[in-house]
Amino acid sequence: MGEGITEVDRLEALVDEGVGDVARYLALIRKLKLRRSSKVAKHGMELLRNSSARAKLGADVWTVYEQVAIAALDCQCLTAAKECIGALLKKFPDSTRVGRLEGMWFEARGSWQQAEKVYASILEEHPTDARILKRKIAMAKAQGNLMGAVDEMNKYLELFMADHECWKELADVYLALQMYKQAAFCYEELILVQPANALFHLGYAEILYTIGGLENLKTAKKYYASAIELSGGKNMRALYGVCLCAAGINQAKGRNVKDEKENSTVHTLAADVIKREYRLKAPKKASLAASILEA
Amino acid sequence: MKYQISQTAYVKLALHALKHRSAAVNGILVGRVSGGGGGGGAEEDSASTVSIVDCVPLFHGQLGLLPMLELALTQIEEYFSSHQEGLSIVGCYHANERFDDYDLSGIPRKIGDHIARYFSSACVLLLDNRLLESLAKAGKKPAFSQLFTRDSSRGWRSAPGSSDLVLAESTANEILYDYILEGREQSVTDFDDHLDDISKDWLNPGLFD
Repeated sequence: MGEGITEVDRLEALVDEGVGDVARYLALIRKLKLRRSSKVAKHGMELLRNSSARAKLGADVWTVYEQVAIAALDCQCLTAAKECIGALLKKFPDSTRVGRLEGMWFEARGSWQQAEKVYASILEEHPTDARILKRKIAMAKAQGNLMGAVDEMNKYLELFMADHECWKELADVYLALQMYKQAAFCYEELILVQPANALFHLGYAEILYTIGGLENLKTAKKYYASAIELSGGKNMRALYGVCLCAAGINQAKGRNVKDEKENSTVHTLAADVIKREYRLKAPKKASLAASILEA
Repeated sequence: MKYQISQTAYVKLALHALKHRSAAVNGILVGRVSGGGGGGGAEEDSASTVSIVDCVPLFHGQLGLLPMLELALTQIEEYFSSHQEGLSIVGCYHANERFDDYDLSGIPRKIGDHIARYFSSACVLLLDNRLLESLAKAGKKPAFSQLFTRDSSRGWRSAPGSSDLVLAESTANEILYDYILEGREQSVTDFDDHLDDISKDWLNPGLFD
């Protein structure tokens, strides 16, 4: 992912100067699912308004219209978005995918009821259209109705229970509501769906640590440790996390001798890695990191 | 108790919020108390001023988790007490995810509570996104935040007048406006960025060069 971002940044700089390949830039943004709406809207609209550049896109032009429409909505450029949506409507008059964009146009204006109407009519014919169901979730969130968003997400997950993006989104909303146990449950589902994803192990550990208590700290330490393994020993949050858990466990009462031994190896190793990384990459902070770890 | 915020802290926290327009952000305020009694006193001393000298941007997106927050607070306290005389953590700032959300939610309250345990005059600054638009006309007032302090029942209340939080330097709004035109917010590093790549410094040493 890191290399992808470097490439995007490089393309972006060229495109900003007027010499880059805008189509390639937009394609990479789509691939990496980045949210750089003002650049996409600006360069995308220029591309789309140029008929020869548009022709060169071939069949991709419709994907680009969609991408630029959404970026324009994100920047509140409603006229530009309307232009793109208009082009798509002409080509695909009955499409639910374009219908979604029409609804999003109303959302961007804050015309929630109009958006609701658009989505309701699509759902009448296609009651399990995932994209539209997701818009209902997004609208609830956008209006600050977090519990409403939770309801919609739980309904969605009954239909699409392997959708890890939704489990992650639900976890995030639970966390914003400080409903940590529910967030933890979401992460358990995420780990079931993608057991080798270090970020899910990491997220689960962070939530358990936040809930607190000796048992949770011990479990958190295990998940921090598996996150370290799954990330090839590189994830700084997981490395620090193991040390924080060890300190927390030591402070809590009733630890037994066996745990104490287990404690010393993992967190000492982690502490050594952290200190070494700081000496290499952030020497000015190395002594600060070291003194925190000693404590 | 009066609160004063330096140009450095003010501009830095605004740029942090602007860098992550579609996410909630937060950070720690660092400073000292001057005039009147010391900072640990339980009584409000109207002759004293809390000077917010600097800030450390913390996180963007996910603000509700404890471990990295604890780590950051430890490192920040350790750094400022040993490197900068008399500076300590005096509060925190928070910007909500949504443009029109003016509520101080549970998470900044909790962080504020934690800081208040060590510094009773702790404050929480809640950024008001709408006011950022009127920056050019704001002149000498901090354009965009609500100041919260602890009341006697240990809840957080919004300070009544706009005189309770003042800008230490009258040029702060102009400088911020110029930086926004330049896109300087892209150069802000927060603690999240540091954890992703430790070569990035949460002290933001070159930000105002």
